Amino acid sequence: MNVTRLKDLLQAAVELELSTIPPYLCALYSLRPGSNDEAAAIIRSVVVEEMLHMVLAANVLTAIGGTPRLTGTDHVPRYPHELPDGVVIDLLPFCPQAVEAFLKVENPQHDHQAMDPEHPLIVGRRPEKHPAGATAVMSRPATIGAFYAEISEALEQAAKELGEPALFCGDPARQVTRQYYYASGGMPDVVTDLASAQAALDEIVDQGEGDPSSMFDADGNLAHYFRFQQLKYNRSYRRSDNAGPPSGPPIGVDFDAVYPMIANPRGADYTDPELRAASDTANRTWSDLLRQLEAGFNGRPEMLLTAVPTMFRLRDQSLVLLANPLPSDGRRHAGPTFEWDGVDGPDPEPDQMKGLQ
Amino acid sequence: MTVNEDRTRPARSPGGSDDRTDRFLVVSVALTGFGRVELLGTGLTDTYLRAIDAVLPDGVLDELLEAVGEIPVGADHETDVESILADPKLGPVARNIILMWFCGTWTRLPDTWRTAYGVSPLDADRVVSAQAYQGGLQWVAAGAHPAGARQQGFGAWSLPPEPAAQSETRAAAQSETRAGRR
Amino acid sequence: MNDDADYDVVIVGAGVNGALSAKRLTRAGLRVLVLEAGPDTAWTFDGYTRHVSHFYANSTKNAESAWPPAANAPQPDTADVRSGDGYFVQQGPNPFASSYTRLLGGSTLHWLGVSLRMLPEDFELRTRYGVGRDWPLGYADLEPYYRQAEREIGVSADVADQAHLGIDFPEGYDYPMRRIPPSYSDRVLAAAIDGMEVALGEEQFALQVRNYPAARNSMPRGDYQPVGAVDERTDGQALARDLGQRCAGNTACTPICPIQAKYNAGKSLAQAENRNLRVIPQAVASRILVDPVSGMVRGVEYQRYEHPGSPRHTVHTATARAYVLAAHAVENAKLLLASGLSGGSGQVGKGLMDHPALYAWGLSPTSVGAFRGPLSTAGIDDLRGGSFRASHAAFRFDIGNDGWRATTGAPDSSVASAVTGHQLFGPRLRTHLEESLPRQVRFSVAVEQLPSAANNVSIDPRYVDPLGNPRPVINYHLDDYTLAGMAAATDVYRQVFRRAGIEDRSDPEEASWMPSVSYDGSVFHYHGMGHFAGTHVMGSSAETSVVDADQRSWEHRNLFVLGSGSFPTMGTSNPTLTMAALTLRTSERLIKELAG
Repeated sequence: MNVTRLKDLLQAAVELELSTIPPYLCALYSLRPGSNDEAAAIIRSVVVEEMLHMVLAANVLTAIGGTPRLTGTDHVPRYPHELPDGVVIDLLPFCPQAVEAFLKVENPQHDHQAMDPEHPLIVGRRPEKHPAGATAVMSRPATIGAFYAEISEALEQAAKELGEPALFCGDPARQVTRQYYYASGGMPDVVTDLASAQAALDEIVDQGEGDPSSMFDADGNLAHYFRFQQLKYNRSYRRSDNAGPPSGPPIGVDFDAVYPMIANPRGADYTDPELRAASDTANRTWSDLLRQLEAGFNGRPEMLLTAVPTMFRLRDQSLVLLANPLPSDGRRHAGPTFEWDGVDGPDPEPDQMKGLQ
Repeated sequence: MTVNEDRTRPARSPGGSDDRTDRFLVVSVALTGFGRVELLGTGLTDTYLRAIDAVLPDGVLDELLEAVGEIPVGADHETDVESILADPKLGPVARNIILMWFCGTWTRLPDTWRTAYGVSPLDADRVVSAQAYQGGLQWVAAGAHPAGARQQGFGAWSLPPEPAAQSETRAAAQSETRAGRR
Repeated sequence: MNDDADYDVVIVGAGVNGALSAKRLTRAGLRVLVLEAGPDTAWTFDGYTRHVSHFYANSTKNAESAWPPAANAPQPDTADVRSGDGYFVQQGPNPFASSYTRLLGGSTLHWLGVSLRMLPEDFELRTRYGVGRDWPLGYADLEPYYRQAEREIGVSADVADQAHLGIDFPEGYDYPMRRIPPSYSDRVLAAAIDGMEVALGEEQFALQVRNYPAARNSMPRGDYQPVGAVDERTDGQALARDLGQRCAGNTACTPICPIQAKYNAGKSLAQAENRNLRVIPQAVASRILVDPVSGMVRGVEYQRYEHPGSPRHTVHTATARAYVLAAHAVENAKLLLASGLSGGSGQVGKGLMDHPALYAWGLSPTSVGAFRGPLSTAGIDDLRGGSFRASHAAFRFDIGNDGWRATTGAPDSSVASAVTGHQLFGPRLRTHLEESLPRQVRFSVAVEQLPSAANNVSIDPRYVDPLGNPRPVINYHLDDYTLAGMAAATDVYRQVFRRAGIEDRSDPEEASWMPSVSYDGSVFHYHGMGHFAGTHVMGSSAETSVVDADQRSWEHRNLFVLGSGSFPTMGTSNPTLTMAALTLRTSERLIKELAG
């Protein structure tokens, strides 16, 4: 097994996890304040775990001596984005079509019609698809689960060929530990050998799709797919439910209480200079966030602490955009565009960090 | 820019092309020092217009909106606003509009005003809505967040505050204002 | 559990003491009934969310603003302190300025979360300084339970910051979570004043801005698992299990942490062994029934109401082997008195204490980033102990992170003053606010108060609530010991402000809700810290106290009265951690007796 290829695969996994975050954030931030409280809690819980998945994938990559990359046009996802299994995800406001896409992302068995290209939400707003990095390093896997299964097998084979100590040669100090990354959706596992690497990959798959025989993950939480089923059916699951539609009480999903963001917005769409400036500010923040995360994955874990306030700043800036009608449209609204700001500058300043440690 | 009609969405949209909303925004920009995108960004423009209309006697708000020069007009409306604030009828209303944008509250008008121009049962000190409380621009001015909402994340409070002058949106808004765009 | 279950213990009150007891007792296999006077609306995600919305839309943002009372379980409100027409019947001479909340979760729903231990010297004030009373137990007796309490309620701190003033920790111990990061404001202030010396009497003290232990989730140590939001639904998937992560800086510990990163008693109750627990909300304990021969409690009579707004109710009696009152210092005393159990010592309701507190506020020369972070992350607590306590009260400073919100109602009041007072508008208004709001600094100075027979809770048949239960009648005054402490504290805060270049803007006229008191030519405007104590004092003899060191009633041996009401004195720490430690100690003894 070629270690370079293994690193490419794991880099693709990091990018895959990253690429799911902006679509979830668009749906989350598009909820009008004061509505959809339960929907917000559900989407938020998934985003938090997707971020954990990115950390886990990065830890595996770091453990074999790799350097996770999140910055630069080669690594920052663009939308519409084509996942390794061919599913296309758009930046959309919270709407039934977005929920369908989320269900498909989390469960390849989901019976989902690809979005009609003539659908009013996306007609004219899907200029080109941007394939995930994984498509360059792997013949198209049938599912995300298969994608991770291939990584898992490759790891095992490499460990056999090289021996575990030689394969897991990364500096343990570069692992992201729970001291630096902790959220309610789980804690990162430190990866030092094959067993811990497999456990990290298993957790990614387990939290997403769940065990096919159960709605719940190993921690007793609903798998992502089933959390989204609750949005689709506007009902919560009862403990006694089987994997079908949920039968619990309604959860107040309101697809009308949403800012009608244009699909896959671009900064270039904003001809109004004030709006464009607001969008550029948000993109700088998004890019700062990626720079901080990348630094955090590469030997400066304390940068992950600053990344948290950066993400909330991005939320505030996104909310301003989402509440703005497009001046020339009058119906649809602006939204965050999640575009790389093009600055491959120096590392983020560390001096602000004093108080956090 | 290509924008396609979205017929799945209701036609109403806050602050869209509605002329009165536009005029309200122009007045509000002059009163608050915040740009149009920032004001619309609160998502509260319609809420505030409705709240003001509900409490004021007919015509008072329109009188105030008319008092600020023609739209579109030049750089700043400072002179217009000064004369409005000095006006016994429009001044207290204009100050209430400032307080509304900054604090999300309606403030009871002075007794002299109530006696002269009319009393509404809605003219009482109150928070306009839970969303209005959270959308108050005072929190933005403070470089902070509304207490109990829009959390800044673990440890954010330990970092130096963001200097207000670095707000790009604001810089753009100011340069636009100077250029006399509207 | 079934309605007709046979209980081992009836607990009155689902606040921190009731919840911790219920958790420990049910997990030891004991069957427990909890009677909660108020509704259980804070028990589910959507119920809690409604409380958050209530706070947003409330025009006042005080400690009670998220927690409207049920008419049948009325509660004091700080907004009523000056008018005196609230739940308390205030007989003065000074108004009692604190409040509490009668809901499932109790006042932990709106506490600040500061979790200081008491100082070793606080337990022996009489012996050391000739004032107050000694406790029947000492710091060393309580220390293991402090550690347990810190784990139960989830305290974030570093031992390295906290080991001073005689507080010691066993080798190798540290708090379950790392300290909450200090605010930028704390760091600016520390840079300006750390090491400055002040004199109190003969003694010199070097001051230091010191991080507070806080029951707010931070980065866990070891295998500690932080506890998230409460979401106890009868059916349906609990969604909020993923909320309640680390403190995210909502700057609203009081009145409501919107994400439940801060401890509230509902979290402990949710961890109880469900099979052994029954909680009845909207059930007001009205009388303790005692066997006249043995003195043993044979039941608790309670009134159950369906609708919080209607006084219609049914009367029931709950029986068990042992009874725990955990209803709050005032409510415990009230219930004992209403049941005719004033005890041989005559001490029930006597010795009521609080931390009367002063505000000091000013403008820092540079931005301190106000209005961000937990309401307070640090303080100056070097003046909590010392030989000056022979002559006046000890005190400590909370450094606020919320500008002048607590004092003047900023930022709203600052905006109003700029717009209406200074006639500012447009860019100049915005710039003025951008420059001034982040410079707002606020201290709260909590001053010690000693027990006095003149300060008490009593009942009077003329004053009853809608269910016919007595309202607390409060007699309260601030004595010279406390007032001299206020004078010394005022002197110190002025020195600190001068040293840090903070322009003193303290103006009680801007905080008109606070009562005032005169002393030695000065007028102090004080508020209450919500720290009620001393109403069922613990001691070493039945002649001078209501309960023993186990919080067991001297006269009714199957009755335990929990909470800060048991405190003989209260030092300067907020009482929650200490009463949690006492409750865990009492629970241990109860389990030994009943389950052993």
